[in-house]
Formats: sequence, structure tokens, C-alpha cells
Amino acid sequence: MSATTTSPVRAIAWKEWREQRPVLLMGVLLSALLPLFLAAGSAGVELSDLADVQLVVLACLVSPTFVLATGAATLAGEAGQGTFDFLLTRPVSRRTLWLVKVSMGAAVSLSAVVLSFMVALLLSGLAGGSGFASLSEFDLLEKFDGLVTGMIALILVVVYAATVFFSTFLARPITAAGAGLTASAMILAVTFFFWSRLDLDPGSVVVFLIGHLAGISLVILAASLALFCRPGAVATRRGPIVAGLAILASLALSPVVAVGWLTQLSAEAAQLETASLSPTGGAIAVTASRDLNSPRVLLMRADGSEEGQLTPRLTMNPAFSPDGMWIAYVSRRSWLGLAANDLSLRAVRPDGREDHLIAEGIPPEEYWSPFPIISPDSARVAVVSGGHLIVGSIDGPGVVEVDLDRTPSKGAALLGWTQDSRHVLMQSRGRDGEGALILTFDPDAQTWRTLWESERYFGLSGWYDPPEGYAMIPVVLEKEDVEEWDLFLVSAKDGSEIKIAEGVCRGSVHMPDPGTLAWADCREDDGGAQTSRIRMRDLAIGAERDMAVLAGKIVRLSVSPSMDRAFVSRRLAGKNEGLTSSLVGSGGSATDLPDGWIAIGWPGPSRLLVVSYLEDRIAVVDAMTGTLRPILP
Amino acid sequence: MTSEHGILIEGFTRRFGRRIAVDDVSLQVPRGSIFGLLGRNGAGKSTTIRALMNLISPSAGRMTLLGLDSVKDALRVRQRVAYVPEEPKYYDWMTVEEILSFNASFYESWDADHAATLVKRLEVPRGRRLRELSLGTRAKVGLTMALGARPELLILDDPTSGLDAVVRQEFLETIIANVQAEGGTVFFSSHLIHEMERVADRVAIMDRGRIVACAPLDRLKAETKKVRAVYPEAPPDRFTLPGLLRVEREPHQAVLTLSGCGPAMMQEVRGTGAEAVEVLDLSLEEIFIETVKGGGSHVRDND
Repeated sequence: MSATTTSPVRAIAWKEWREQRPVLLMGVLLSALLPLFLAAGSAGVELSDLADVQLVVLACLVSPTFVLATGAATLAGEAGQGTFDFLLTRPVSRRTLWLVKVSMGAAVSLSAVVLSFMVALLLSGLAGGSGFASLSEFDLLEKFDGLVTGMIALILVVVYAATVFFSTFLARPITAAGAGLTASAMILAVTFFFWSRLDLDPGSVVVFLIGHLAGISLVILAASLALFCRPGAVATRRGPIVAGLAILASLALSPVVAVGWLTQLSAEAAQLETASLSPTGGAIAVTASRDLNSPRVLLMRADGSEEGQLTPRLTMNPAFSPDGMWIAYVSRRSWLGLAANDLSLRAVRPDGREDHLIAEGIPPEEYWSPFPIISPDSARVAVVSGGHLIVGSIDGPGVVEVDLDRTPSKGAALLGWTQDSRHVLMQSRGRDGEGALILTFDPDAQTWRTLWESERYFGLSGWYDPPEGYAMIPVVLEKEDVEEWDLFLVSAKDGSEIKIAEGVCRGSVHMPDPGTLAWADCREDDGGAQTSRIRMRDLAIGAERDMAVLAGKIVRLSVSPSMDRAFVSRRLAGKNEGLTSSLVGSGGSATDLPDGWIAIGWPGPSRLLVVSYLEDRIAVVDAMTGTLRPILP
Repeated sequence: MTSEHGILIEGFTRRFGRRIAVDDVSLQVPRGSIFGLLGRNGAGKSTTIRALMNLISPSAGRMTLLGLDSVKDALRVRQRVAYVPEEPKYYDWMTVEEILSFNASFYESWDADHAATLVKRLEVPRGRRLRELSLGTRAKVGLTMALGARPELLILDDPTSGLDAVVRQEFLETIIANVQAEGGTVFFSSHLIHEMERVADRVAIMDRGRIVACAPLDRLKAETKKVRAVYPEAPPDRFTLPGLLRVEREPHQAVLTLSGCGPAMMQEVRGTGAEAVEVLDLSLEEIFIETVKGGGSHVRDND
């Protein structure tokens, strides 16, 4: 540096570089030595794997150390060596001084992090066995995707800002580093806590993360600058510490205000999953989510109006009680608002009041979330998950939990309730994995009974809208050596069975009310053409009638409460993709609707609620005209 | 902006929490003067100087340097004012050459030739690192940095503290030769009274956060005297003389330390019943001690 030719900014930058450059050297050395340390303590581990471990260690441990070191040295280092008076009495503004020092600190931090990662990458490439050649194939994003890398960078920015802040008025770098680390840990912990509580739109999370953490960092740095520009603030203690903590605390709370509007999910922005129709048909509860990680329950009128979020994030699978007074749902939300390891069963009034816990600590299923089923008297709710049956009282205490592995119903699935609400019905394969079995469980006596058993393969599919309670349980059983299905009714009282029909379409069975059974017979002529005949049986008097005959194979059937309409989803010959949806009248007329719609239920005799598994939409079908009107989104 | 005052302090007060370090201080330092601020440790000298350099802010009052406000015009002040603190700390890893170059970058008025001359005259080793230098040599580096900028006002906070007598003399001579030759102003604090007496033309005495005396040195010495008054019997129990700093009573005499001492004052002393009056001259050190022990003085510079 030659005298008088350099500007004050360049002079300060030069000084900062000279003072902070050991951090760079430390970065390179640590990156180079880490594999040796790791290898020394990790016998038997592949060196190439160690290189990956090294990257993680660099990201999680060493990088913040660089940032802490430079952030603390930026201002407190000067105060610590007593040189601030010299610098502050030179003709340069405090703002310029602060900007140059903090910028240089950031630049050195960034360089140290980047350099150490590059050294780690180089070593990783070498350790891969192909020397430098493998480096060209080294994919950084494979090891650290963009989001994680950005997240680490933002966290480092927060750590740096907090450390610089404390470095503004603390005289010892080590104290400033400790305070900065503590403060940034607090900020990040509180921030993450609020993020999890606020149920952010996943699409907005990245923008919010950047905005929030960068915003916090900028405000903290601005506070540092303001403090630094105040004469006498350097290397003083009490006041600035209190002020600093207050600022940091308020910053940590800022997301509550800043993103409150992002928390409410609307059906417009949601993917819609399961739905439950109220007994009167006036309301619908839907599981909606922005992605698979943020399901919650929306409640609205059956026409899609007056939509509102009923339950918080991480809740799903609502079920109206038959009296319409409660909605039971499943939650995987911890008290922190984060995803819990276990499930809980809860219930809430349709107006959102009295949201309460019924049972907790329910083991989850690996691939799906269980559906609660409420007893016909609306007093109790049952759910099966993770090999456990849980039966609870809908309005609060009184839970019975049964480990199904220790009962005859090992591997059984929940079928529903008996009509008298006294027994839970379970269905499973037979005792040796063959055949079929229906069991009853008395939650009061906690006793099991085998209601019915068959050696034939069990073909009963789960109901989309099971009846309120079973007097007779429809089951389909596979014929021996032939892929055809016979329909039986099993008495929920004594297990006696009645054969109803042969050659039925599997999955087509529906009970529009406990006294009526509907199904479709599947036939195939000599030319291979398939037809389905929709039939109905009055279980009280045994009378049967045909509703319609349709081409193709019906895979799902839903009959209206007035028994004069049906909605079918059928697979047509020659059409490989998608189900054809049709509305069928009692005269046999069929009106085809767009593909992919499945019935949820009938809000009224002439209105049908359907969900599209292709488009994640819910619609109302006018059963008289066959008009389909999407209501969500 | 031109001002007749190198420094003008009006009602400066500085509190640290409940403690008042400096209380309502007002001072006028004429341009071209060498102004010494005397005071015991903790009297408030460094606090006043740090406020002048905007290193701390005043709790009350206003300060101007060369007509510029110490807070609002801090940057312009620092272009024209050089400051040497009591125990200067520099970047130990820098060489003398580097720190001079670093310092030069901040000043438009930096005179590299002048700085080189000073380095040569003060025998400062340019290539050595600061950590390798003695305290005296480091002080010389600080002085070179201050004077190399050709300041109009030089503020020194007890600059010779800890230096040996030879370096102290060299230091002060250099200041006088450089600053006064160009009509600059020097404001310095010290507890080394003999040196201040040698170089200062105006002096203020500060005690417990207040200015207790302020005047040109000659006037201060001319007006602050010890008067031995001899009485036929015991001296009066109580003296009500204006400017009385201290009384030492003996069986037949009293030794009065008086500020604002003149013929009229002598008349007043005789009026207390004294048979004989003897006037004794005081050195600056004695004036300082008497003033501080007496709890205050009233020699005020009203120029």
C-alpha cells in the first residue's frame, strides 16, 4: 500500500483482509484435515462416504464457525485490541467504517465457506477412486439440493448478523461469538416454531424463508449500524444488551404478524382428498392439503359455499356422526404443531367448537391414514391403525385400545358398527391367511367373537360411504378356480349367511340404507362383450328388481336414497385408461359424464356429490338432468 | 467556517448512569494557543476530550472545534483536528510504514514529505512492526500520524504519560515546533505539571468534573499567591475574603492562598487585623495543589 494513493474504503478493506485472512487458511486446513480425523475414527467406512460426511460436517459445524469468527472479529476484535479510538478518530464516517468492515467480514466468511467446500469436494472427488476425473461428474445438488443449500446459507446469514450485532458493543470477540450463536439459535428455534404453527403454503415457504430470515438479518444488521453510529456505543454493556435482546425477541415474533394471512387454506389452493357428507346432506367435510405434508379439514355447504378451515394442519379424514353433531377426524399433529410420530383421534363440532382429544398415541400406518367410523347412535368412534383398534367415546374420555396382534383379529380391517351400536365389526383373511373372517368386538366387555368364517377368498372391498350400521353384512366371495364373485349377506346378529347372487361385479355392492342392497351382475357373452345389470333387493321382504343394464364392468355403484337413480363408474371394453362415469335413471337411461368421477354421497334425492380422482375436484351432479357442476375448487 | 476559538465548550455535562463525570463545563480555547488542561486522575479531562472527538456524546451542552459542531460536523472536524490519546493502541501487526500509509489514506491534507521528515527526526524505524517498538517510539509514531496530517488543531490526552524524560521533551518540542509555527492550536491534558508549565500559554484546572480555574498561565500565576499575614494575637476564626482558596492557621499568623490577588486584595487582608503581610509566589504545581485542595478557584478567563 503506498501512502496517500488509497481511498479510506480501500485502506479499511485492506486492513480487514489482513486481519481476517487467517480464517481462510483455517478453512482450507480444516477441510483438508477433516477426512484424516474422520477416517481415524471410522474404521471400515468407505473413504468416498467419508467425503460426504465431511461435507455435512462442514455445513453443520465448520461453516458456522467461520461465520462466528469473522462476525465476532469484525467489530469486537477492534474493541478488544483497543484500536477503535484510533479508527474512529480518523476522518471517515462511522457508517462507511461499519459497511466496509461488515462487508469484508461477510466476504471472508463466504470465501472461507466456499473454499472449504471446494477443498472438500476436491477430496471427495479424489476419494471416489477416479481422482480429478470423478470431480467433473460430482453433482453438488445431489448431495445438497437447492433448498438445503439455500437454507444453510440463510442460517449462516442469521448467525453472521447476530454475531455482528453483539460484536458492535461487546469488547471481547469470544463473548460476541457466544452471544451471537445463542441469539441466532434462539431466533432460528423460535422462527421454526412459528413456521410450524403457521401452516405455511408450501409454495410460499421458500419465498417466506428467504424473506423472513433475510429480513431479520437485515434488521439486526441495521440495528448494529444504528448502534455503531451512536457515539459511545462501542464496547459498552448493559443498555445495548437489553436493547439487543428485546430486538431479537421482537424479530423472532415477527412471523406471527407477517404471514398470518398465509395460514388459512382455501379449497382454491388445495388438493382435495377424502370427503364426508353430513347426514342431512347439507354440509361436506373435506380433507384438503397443499401437499401431502399439510392436510387439514375444510367444511362447507354441499354446494361449495361458506367454505372454512375446520381443523389445523396435519389433520385429515373427517367423518360426520349420524346425528350430525360431531365430526371425528385423525390428527398427526404434535402439541408443537409439528408432525408427530403417533396419530390421535379427535372430534369437533361442525361449527369448530369443542375440538377435543379422544385418543392419542395411536400407531400410524405406513402408507395411508386411517378413517374413523362413528357408531349409529353417534356415541362412539372406532379406528384401526398400525395393528391397533381404538374405540373411544365421541364426547371425551373412555378409550379402549386393543393390540390386534394379540387377538383373533390379527391383520383385520375395520368394517363398521352393528346397527345396535354395541359391537365393532372387523373383517380379515381366515386364520391361516386363507378364506375370510368377520369378527365382532364388544368394547364394553372387551370380548371378541367370530361372527362368520369362510374358506373362500374374501372379496369385500371397503365402502366409500358405509351404512350407519349393519344388520346384514354384504360380502363377495371368489368362486373356486374361476374369477367370478358371489354375493352373500351375513347376519350381524348370529353370523348366518344368505346367498344373494352369483357373478356379481366385485366392488359394485352398495347399501343406500341398511334395509336395501344394490349390486351389479357382471356378464360376458360369447364374443367377450361385458355388460353389467344393476339390481336392488329389499332386505325386509326379499323382493328384487332390475334398475338398468349397462355396457362394461361396473366397479363402483352408488344408489340414491330414493332408489330411483344410481351413479356408476365402469370400465368399458377397449378403453384402458380411466373410468367412465354415468348417471343411471330407473328406466335404464344412462347419461355419461366426464371420466374419473366417483360418488361421495347423496345430499338429496336428486343431488349427488362426486369427486374426481383425476382432477382433485368435487362437483355436484343434478340427478334429474345429469348436469355436473364443479364446486371445489 | 472561521472562528476565533479553536475550541468552544458551553455547558458540557456528561453522566454515566447516575454518576456525573463532567458537570456544566464551559471553556474557550483561542486559536493559536497552547492550552493545558490540568486535573487529577478522574477529574473529567479524558471524558471532555473524548466528547470533543465525538467518541462519546454529551449528556448536555455543546462543543465546537474550529467553529464546527463536535457531533453534527464530526467528519469535518476529524479532517482538521488530530488526536493523540493517552495510551494509543495501534495495529501491532503493521509496520511503521504500513500504519503511516494506512493513516495517510484518510487525510486530504496528508503531507508525506512532512511525515517523512518527522520520522527521520524522531528516529522512528520505518520497517519495524509496531509490536516490536518501545512505548516511546510508539508515541512518536502516533505523533507523526497526528502531525503528518497538518492539523489546525491538535488534541492530546496526557500524551507523555509513561514516557521517559528525554522522549517527553522531544515530544513536546516537536509539537511546539510544528503546530505553533503554522498558527495551529494545541489542546492537551496532562498531570505532568512541570511540562505544562513549560509549554502552555493558557491553563484550566479541572477537579471533580468542574473547571475550578481557567486563565492565561501568566495571569494565573500572577493572581494566585500565598499571603502570610502576621497577627498580634490569634488570627481571626473566619476570613471572608473574595478568592480565598485555603487558610492555614498558626498561633500568630495565617497563610492564605488567594486567587485574584492584587493591591486591593492586600488591603483587604490587612483589614483583617494583620500587622504584616508577606506575598509568596506559587509555581503552577503549587497553584494546582492549592486549588484542588481548597475545593475551587475563581480565576476565570473572561477574555
